[in-house]
Amino acid sequence: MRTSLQFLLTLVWLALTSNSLAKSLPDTDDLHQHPAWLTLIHYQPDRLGSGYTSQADDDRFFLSDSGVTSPKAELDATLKAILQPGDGDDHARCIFPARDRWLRQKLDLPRDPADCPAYEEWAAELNTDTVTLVFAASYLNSPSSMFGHTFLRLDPPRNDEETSLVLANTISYAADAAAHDSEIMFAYKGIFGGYPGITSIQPYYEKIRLYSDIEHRDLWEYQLNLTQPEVDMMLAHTWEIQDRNFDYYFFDENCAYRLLALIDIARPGTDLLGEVSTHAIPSDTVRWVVDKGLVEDVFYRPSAATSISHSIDSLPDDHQTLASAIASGYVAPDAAEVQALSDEKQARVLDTTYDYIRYQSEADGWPREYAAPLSHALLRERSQIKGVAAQQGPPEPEIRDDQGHDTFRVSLSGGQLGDLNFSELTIRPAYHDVLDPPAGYRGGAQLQFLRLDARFYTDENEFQIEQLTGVEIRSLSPRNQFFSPTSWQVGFGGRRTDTETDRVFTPYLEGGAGGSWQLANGTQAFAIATADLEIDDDLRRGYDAAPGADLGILHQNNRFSLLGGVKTKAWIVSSQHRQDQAYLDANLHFGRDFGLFARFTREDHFERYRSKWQLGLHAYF
Amino acid sequence: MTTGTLGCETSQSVQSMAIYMDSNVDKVARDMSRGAGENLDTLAVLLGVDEADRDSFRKVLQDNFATIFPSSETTSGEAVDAIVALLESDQSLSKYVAA
Repeated sequence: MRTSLQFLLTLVWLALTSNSLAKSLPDTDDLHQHPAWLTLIHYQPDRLGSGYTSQADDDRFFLSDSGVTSPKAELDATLKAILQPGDGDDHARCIFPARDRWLRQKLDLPRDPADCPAYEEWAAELNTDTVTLVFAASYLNSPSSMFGHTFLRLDPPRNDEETSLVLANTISYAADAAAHDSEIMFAYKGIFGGYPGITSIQPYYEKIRLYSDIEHRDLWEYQLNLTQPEVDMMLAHTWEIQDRNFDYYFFDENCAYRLLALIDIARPGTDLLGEVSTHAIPSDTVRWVVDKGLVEDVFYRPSAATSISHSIDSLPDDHQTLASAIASGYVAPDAAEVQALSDEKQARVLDTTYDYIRYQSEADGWPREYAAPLSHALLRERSQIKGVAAQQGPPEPEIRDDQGHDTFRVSLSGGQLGDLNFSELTIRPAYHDVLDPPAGYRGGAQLQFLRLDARFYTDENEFQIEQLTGVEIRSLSPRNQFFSPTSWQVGFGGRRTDTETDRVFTPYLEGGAGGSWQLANGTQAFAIATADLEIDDDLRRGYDAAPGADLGILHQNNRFSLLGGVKTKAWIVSSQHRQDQAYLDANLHFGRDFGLFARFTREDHFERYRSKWQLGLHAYF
Repeated sequence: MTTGTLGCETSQSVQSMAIYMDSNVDKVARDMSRGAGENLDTLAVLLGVDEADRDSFRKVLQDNFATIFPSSETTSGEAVDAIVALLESDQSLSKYVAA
């Protein structure tokens, strides 16, 4: 009895308080603390202190002089401005339609539409029915693309045949990098800030051209399930931030981040930005969007590179040779041996050859004087073949990029170096190495950031940092009769190095270039010429350098990955000696969350053989 | 873009097609030679070609590929002019390029 009385009282209390909450809304006292308002002005809590600072770096985005740091001042100023009589393009209601809409809703103000010709014309032009999040996947031989890229596509109503999605508009947020800045400057400013970030609108076909044709990146289209009012709110806010500067940072406030804010604004309470910690990797942000149930449907648009590889693979061997001969100019497109083929086969050969030449002109800079007349001749021949449809594009991969393993990895292992036992903890915040589960990632590609290997030598109770990898990039892409990419690698950080008497921690820089050849599906052999540089005062001359070679075989599949080979380095500066190593690495994948790994190396260094083995567990978060 | 017919006497749809052709001429040429494809469909959308006329639209363009692109040096503006001229002379398609 007593409990039910308490229950009743609680209910009454709840009813009263929620009622009074509802009543207090028109009073703007707390409204500036409302999550939706904080998102609309892009406020983030200050790291020190209890205030807020907006991420907008543009005075034109604020109506109050203290708006950058004062949600309340900005709200009061906005409210005052939108309640001014009149309308027209310069009225605050027209400059900040999203704020206007939200405040009127929350404060129960009259919602008579404002007359904003410029905004209305813009919105009508965009004619948006649904919004699609587009993810440009990474491409094999371009590790800088490995994080992927995201933008939003504004889709027109799709109920009739009068729609072409390539004509749809897209919203993207990108660094407005000065053209003359070098790669290093680009990286520096990208990390520490300094580039203005601009939200811009472009037709989708321009994006397809950039990502699909020039950068060879597959596009994944995630159609979002936003309702029409949510879509309208997103557009209204896009209007507010269009051409406004938000400084661009590679790791967190990047292309993906600003789009998350737009989705949060469209559907309040989504709080995608709450998922961002130190970095917002676009492929991770896609996962969050999927996890929050925002995705209605997914479409795949293979890049020019993926399509051409698929058409080449679909040709029988002798037709591959024929296509290659036409592309090299040995056989004319209208030669007898081409025309002897059936219409369908002839069409396949001509289409593949044309696509291949286009790809090579784009990727490898085949000279126009050569490629253009040949392309034209191929198309003219092709136009004679009627009623043969182009080949079906490549099938959608079974595992999407957002369905691959998570990128943060923690590993625990035990092992032996010579006769010393150790346990090792490895923390790798991002992203993927060639031994991780390959599904959803490009084969042979590796990109690791800020990986820390810490060892505890159990016999001596000694703790040691074994290696701190700043960045490590590796790209093994097979060569064949059509493509001849360079496989390469580069890395820097600090690592233990053997000085014959001791193992000292030394900064290093390493790189390499070579080739790779496919042996079977998922298996490639590689040969890389390498160079190493180590700098440390424990080395006799303060530094040492070694040219070398790395020959090996890599096998990747969804159950296990194997990497084995031999490496040799000839140290030539401080002490002249060889360092030879045989290595074998194996990972056994348990789904996408866990893996067992084993490593074995046998090394001949300073006239001494030493083995290292290690056995452990990876967990992906 | 060049050209003679482009400008005051052409309809807005032809101008939209010309803008699209300007950035996608290679892909349009490819689809045209195959008689089908997304870029060819986009031209049809821009010109407002009805679903019922799409097949003959695709066929006219494929059949006349060599007229539209006489050489590898053909500019997108010249190709647009040729497409307009071809459609104008086609009974069922001329209405889509009427000024």
